[in-house]
This record gives sequence, C-alpha cells and structure tokens, in this order.
Amino acid sequence: MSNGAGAGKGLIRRTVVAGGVLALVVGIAFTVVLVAIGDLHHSAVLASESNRVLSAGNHLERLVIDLETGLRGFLITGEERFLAPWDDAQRAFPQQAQMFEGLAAAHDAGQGRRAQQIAQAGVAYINEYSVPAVETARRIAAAAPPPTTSRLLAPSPRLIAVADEGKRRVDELRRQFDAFAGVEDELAASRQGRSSNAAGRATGAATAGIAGSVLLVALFTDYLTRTIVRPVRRAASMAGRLAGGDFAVRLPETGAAEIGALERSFNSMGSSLQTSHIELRQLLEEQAALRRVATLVARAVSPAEVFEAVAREVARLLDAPATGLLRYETDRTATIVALGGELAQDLPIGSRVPLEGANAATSVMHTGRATRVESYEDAPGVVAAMARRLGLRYGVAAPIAVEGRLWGVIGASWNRPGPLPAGMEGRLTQFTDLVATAVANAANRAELSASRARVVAAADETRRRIERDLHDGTQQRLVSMALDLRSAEAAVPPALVGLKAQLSVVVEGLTGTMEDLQEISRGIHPAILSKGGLAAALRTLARHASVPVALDVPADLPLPESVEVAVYYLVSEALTNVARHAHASVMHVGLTVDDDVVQVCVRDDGVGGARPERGSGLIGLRDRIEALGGTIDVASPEGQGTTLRVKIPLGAR
Amino acid sequence: MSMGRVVLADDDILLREGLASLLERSGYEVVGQAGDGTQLTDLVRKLLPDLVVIDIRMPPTHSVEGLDAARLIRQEFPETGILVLSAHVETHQAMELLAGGSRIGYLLKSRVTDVEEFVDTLGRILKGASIVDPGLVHELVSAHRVDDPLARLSAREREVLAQMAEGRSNAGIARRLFVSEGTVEKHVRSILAKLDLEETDEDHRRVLAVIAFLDAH
Ligand SMILES: Nc1ncnc2c1ncn2[C@@H]1O[C@H](COP(=O)(O)OP(=O)(O)OP(=O)(O)O)[C@@H](O)[C@H]1O
Ligand SMILES: [Mg+2]
Repeated sequence: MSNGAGAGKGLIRRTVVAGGVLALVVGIAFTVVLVAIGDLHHSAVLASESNRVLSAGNHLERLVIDLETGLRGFLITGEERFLAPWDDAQRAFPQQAQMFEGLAAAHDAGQGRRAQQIAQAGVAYINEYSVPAVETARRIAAAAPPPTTSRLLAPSPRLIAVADEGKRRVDELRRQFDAFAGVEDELAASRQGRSSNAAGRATGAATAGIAGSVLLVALFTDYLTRTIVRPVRRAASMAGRLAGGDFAVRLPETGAAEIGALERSFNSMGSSLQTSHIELRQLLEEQAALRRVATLVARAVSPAEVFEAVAREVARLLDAPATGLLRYETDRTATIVALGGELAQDLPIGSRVPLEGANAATSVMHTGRATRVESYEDAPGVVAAMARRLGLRYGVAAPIAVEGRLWGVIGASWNRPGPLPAGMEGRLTQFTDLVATAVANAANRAELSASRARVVAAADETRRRIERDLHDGTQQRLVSMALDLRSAEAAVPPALVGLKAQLSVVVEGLTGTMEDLQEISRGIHPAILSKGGLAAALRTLARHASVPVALDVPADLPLPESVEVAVYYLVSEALTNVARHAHASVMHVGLTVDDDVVQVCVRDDGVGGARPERGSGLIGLRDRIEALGGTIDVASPEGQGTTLRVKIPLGAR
Repeated sequence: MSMGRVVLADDDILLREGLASLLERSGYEVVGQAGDGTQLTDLVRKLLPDLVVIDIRMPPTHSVEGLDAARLIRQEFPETGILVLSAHVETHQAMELLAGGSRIGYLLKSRVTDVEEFVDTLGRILKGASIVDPGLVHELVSAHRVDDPLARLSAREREVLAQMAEGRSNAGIARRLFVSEGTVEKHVRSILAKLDLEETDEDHRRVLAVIAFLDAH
C-alpha cells in the first residue's frame, strides 16, 4: 500500500492519540492554573498571618510605650496613679510577648528569632529597669517630705537620670519593633511579587491552554476532514455513479487506515461488479447470438446459411478476427464450408485443406474433443501456415458431431498478443450443437425430399412406361389387328357378304377401342411435353377441359422438365377437380418466372371448400411440388372458388 | 398402272406389313419399307417414291424421329408427298409439318383402319392437299374458350371451318357438305373476315393459318 505508516495505525488509534494530546495540553494548562491559584491562596494566608503578627507586634509595642509613659509619669510626679497603666502593661506583657513570639515563629523563622529578641529585650527592660526604677522611686519618696507641688516642679536629678535611661531603653526597643515591621514589610512585598507572578503564570497557562486546545481541535478537524470526510464523500459519489451503471469508476487508494481499506474494498467491489456486468453482457450477447442461429436453424434455411451465420456470430462474440467451419471428408482432408471475421474474408470457401501434422483440425478429428493451439508459431500443417500468413497467433477448435458421428470442426483464431484466454473452447462448443442440428435437419430434409422425389420419379416412370406400352404395344397391336382384319375382309369372296360385314363391324369395334385407349392414355403421361413445350401441352389440356380456361402462360419457357411435368400435373389435376367438384364457369391459369422461382396460380370460380385430406389428388401434387423444393397453397373458402398457388424454385436443383 | 409408289416407315413389322398389304390392295405400289428414319431417308434417296408413310415414333428414341425424317425428305425431295402417322396428335406437330408446305398429311394412326377414308386422304395428298387429322380439328373447334372468337361464327360456318382445318379445298368442302362451291367460297370469306385471317390461294397456307388461329385462341 502507498502509505505503510498509515496502514499500521488504525483510525481509532489515531483519534485516541489526537484526543490524548488534546487532553494532555488542556490538563497541563489547568495544572498550571491550579498551582498558580494555590500559590495565590498561600500568599493571602501569609499576608493575613503577617497582619496578625504585625498587630501583635503593635500591641506589644503599645504595652512597652504604656510601661515607659506610666513609669515616666510616676517618676516625674511620683504619683501612684500614673503606675496603673504601667501595672496593667507589666502584667499583660508576658502573655502578649509570648503570643507575638509564637505568631512570628510560626510565620517566619527569622522574624521568630527577631520577635524572641524583642520579647527578651522587653522582659529585660521590665525586670532590669522598669521594676527597679519603680522600687527606687518609691524608696526615694518614702525618705523625702511629702510631695508638694514644688517637688513636682522640681524632681530629683537622680530620677531624671533614671527616666532618661528608660527612654533610651524604650527607644532601643521601638527601633527593634520598627526593624521587625520593616522586615515584615519586605517579606510582604516579596510575597506580593511572588503571588502576582503566580497570577501571571495562571493567566498565561490558561491562555496557552485555550489557544493550544483550539489549535489542536482545528488541526484535528482538518485532519478528520482530509482523511475521513472527504474520502467518504468521494466514495459516496462514486458509489452513486457505480449504482448509475458506470462500472469503471475507481477511487484513488491513497486514504489512510480504514479509509484506505474502504477505498480498496470499494474499488474491488467496483471491479467485481464490472466483471459480473461484463460477464452478464457476454452471456446476453451469447444468448442472443445463439438465438439468432437457432432461429435460422428452425426456419430450415440452407446449412450453408447457418454455417455462415455461425462463423460470423462466433467471430463477433469471441472477438476473433478469423473463424471457420470445416467439414471432414473421407480422404483425410477437410472442406472449408464457412468463414467469419475480418481476417478470413477472402479465403476460398469450398476449398480443401489436408489434415496432416498436429494441427487443431487434425487433433479434433483424432480425439473428438475441443482443443487449444497456444501458438501457431511452430505448428505444422497447411492450416497453421494459413493462420501464420494471416498474422494469427493462437486459436481453439471444437468438434461438430452430427447424430453421433464426427462431421466437422469449428475454429476461432486471434492475432492479439498475450496468452490464449481461458474458456474459449466452451463458448465455441455452444454453437456446435446448432450446426449439427442444421446439418442433420438439412440431411433429413434432403433425404425426405429425395425420397419424395424418388417416389414421384418412380410414379412418373411407371406412367411413362404405361403410356409407351399403350401406344407402342397395345395400340400398335390393335391397329395391326385391324389391318389384318381389313385384309381378311378384302380376301373374303364377294359371295360371303355377311362375313365381310361382320369383319367390318369387328374393325369398327377395334377402332372404338383405340379411341378409348387414346382418351385413357392422354392423362397418363404428358409425352407431349418433350416435344411441344409446357405452353402447348397446357393448351391441349385446356382444350379438353369442361370449362373455358384462360391461360396466361408465356411460350418458350426454358424450364427444367421436372418443373414442366409438375406444372402440367398441377393444371391437369386442377382441371379434373374443376370438372368433378367445382361447378365453375371459368378457370384461370397464370404462370410467371422471376428471380428463379416459377409461380403458378390456378383459380376457379366454383363452390370452393376444397379439402386436400379428402382425396389423393391435391396431396399427390403437394408431394410432387415439395419434392422440387417448392410450396403449394390451397385457398378454397366456401362459396368463393378455389385457388392453388404454387412456387417452385429453379435454383440449384 | 399404280396410284403411286410408296415407301413405308414403321418399326413395327406386323403393322408395316398390314399397311403394305392394304396399300397394295388399294392400288398403290409399296416400293420399300424402313424400320427407322435413317433407313427411310436412304430408301427415299434411292427409290424416289411419290409418297412416304411415316410413323412418328421410331428407333432409336421412340419420340419424334418421324418428324425429323419428314423434314429431311421435304428438304431434299419437295415433290414427295408425306403422311405422318402418330399414336396421338398434337397441334404443334401438325403446324410444324404444315409449315413444310403442301402434300403433307398428319393423321392418327388408327385412321388407317377406315380404308376408304385413308385411301382418299392419300389420293388428296398426292394431288397436293395438306391434311390434318379430323379428331384434332374437332378438338380445336369444339374446345371451350374464354371470349370464344368462334362464337361469332354461324353453325354452318363452323362446319366449313372444320373442313378447312382438315385441309379440304373449297370444292372438297362443297362435296362434303352438299352445297355449291360458290356457297362455300362465301362462307370461307366470311369466316376469314370474322376471324381476321388473310385470304390465300394456297390451300396448305389456309390450313396452317386456321390451325394456328384455333391453337392460339
Ligand atoms: N376446385 C375445387 N372446387 C371445389 N372443391 C374441390 C376442388 N378441388 C378439390 N375439391 C374438394 O377437395 C377434395 C380433395 O380433392 P382431391 O383432388 O385431393 O381429391 P379428389 O379429387 O376427391 O380425388 P382424386 O384423388 O381423384 O383427385 C375433393 O374431394 C373435393 O371435395
Ligand atoms: Mg382430384
């Protein structure tokens, strides 16, 4: 097949692969999107954690600020009420610091450490500075006069130093808080960058996924169109043409996989349809040819005509440029009786060919079976030489057996290159039976008409003999007897008058007998024919008829004697019948000769209703005329006279 | 003094002898007898008879040898009278013979048994008449015809026509029918006019014309 790659992979596999690729592309795109979404979500979680850490940090910073402001107020004023927020902050600080520390550690390891430092620094501030500072201040106050306004306005310098120390420490703490928040901000910024990256990736992946899918679907659609839809549509239209009788249509076998298989099976269906169509047409042609020949045989045309038709039909049917029918003779030769095909046009029909060597005709004669000659190249014999001269290459021959006896051979030859096609002998053989039937029929017909002719000839001969016997024998005897009696009569002495008279009576009686004889012999055989010709004989017949006869017969017709005799008897019998049956007033006899056919029409205007089967006269005529290959038609409608129409061919007889 | 010198030709010796004795009895001199046409012509050349009596059917073929011999004799010896006898008579043979000229007769063989008539016929031939068998003439005259031309003739004219056809002269007819020769002449002229035939002085021509007419119609 043209595409070995495609042949191995089925369409289903191709479709599955294409679908798989599509799913993979879409899957990857979605995975990328999902990952990006996950990233985004994670960033959001981190951001809220960061907020919580920052707010926890702020809260802690505020506690530190409360501690510092409370302390500072107390230190400056010495009033205990400033220590209330300080107390609260001091108490809240450890828990808040722990929470801050925990949140920061969970959030980010570095921030955790920083938060721890901040918490530790805060605790250190409380324990190492803030609480001692309060205790110191309280101790100072207990030792000094009760506080006054002036005192307020004028704190001890030592306290101011303590307060400054506290401020420095708190500033330090706040710087740490700021650093923490700064780091946190940086972290948030970098997370923000990462999450917008992820969003970008997700968008890209989704876009790429959609575009890829669309492209793939488009490519796949195009592929399907090219490999399936179009070939299928083409196959459908070809199937339409095929159904319409165009058996020669074929598809290019270029399709892939099942489509290729479809195309191949469509083509093989087409060619098998074409083959069966050709076979069917061949069969029909064969039947028609056989029927034509059979019709000829049934119509009993001459065998020569059947032979010629068979040679022609076989040449046409088998597309053979030379066909021939040969009849086997007894002297190891065969006579060419018919030829067909354009190459055999001007071979001599009727000529003899010797049966020698191993040619087809000889082989058929020896085996009685159909035979093939694959090549005339080295074939021996005259027939093969003739075939070579005509440019023929090979041929077949089949026997023709007539009533069980090998009669002849029919052959067909070709000049095409290439081997001798199979089955030709069989097709040839179909015709041999018809040829045999034609030959047998003709033989039977010939035999039949020959035997009829023999019967007629024998009867004619008998009539001729009787006529001759009557004239040359009996009549002659009667005449000489009469002459003798006349002699005797003359010799009788005059005295014996009675005897003389008696003798005379006897002679007159003899004369009457001779006249009767004359009348009888007239109908027996038309001896006149050989002397005066048919026209004269018919005139004589007509003169003896009981009714007037209108004769329309040309004189001096050069007709064969057998035909003249037949016509004579025809008219004679018709005249007799008219006298006996017709009650006619006139009779017409017409005779014409054209195209080598004698046509005689004998017609009376009598009662009609003639029935040949009721007598022997008309049937005898039929025998006589058909023995000559002629026909007789009796038309005798009741009350409308009788017409005999006779045709006798003058042809080869 | 014989009535005439005769040569007979017939292959049947008995009949020939019978005929010879009849002729001898009737005053003819039978100078020769032949069994076939060749013998006959040899004898005729040798004997120069006044009359030959010929059977139409003779060896070798028993068909129309007599006619052939008659034709030959007529050519060589036009003055010799010829009587042809036949087992059956036909118009075309009659006409063929009559075409040879006068002094010719054509009779059915059985006519010889009527001696008187027969001898009379021979005498007429020798006198130059042409004679056709009365049976044949009867057949011709009495035949049924379509548009019969003889229907134009009176009964008497038909009788006269038959006599003409048999080869009789006007005088002969007058004798036969017991009428005057003038009457016969009148009838003859009328007949010839009605049948559209030419008048002729020669009797044998008249016979031929009449026979031909009757045969053709
Ligand atoms: N021209 C005719 N007109 C009327 N009927 C006829 C005519 N010819 C023949 N027929 C009738 O046909 C029958 C057969 O005729 P056919 O000539 O065969 O025999 P046939 O005349 O009776 O005897 P034969 O054998 O002697 O001729 C006759 O018997 C007659 O009835
Ligand atoms: Mg009949």
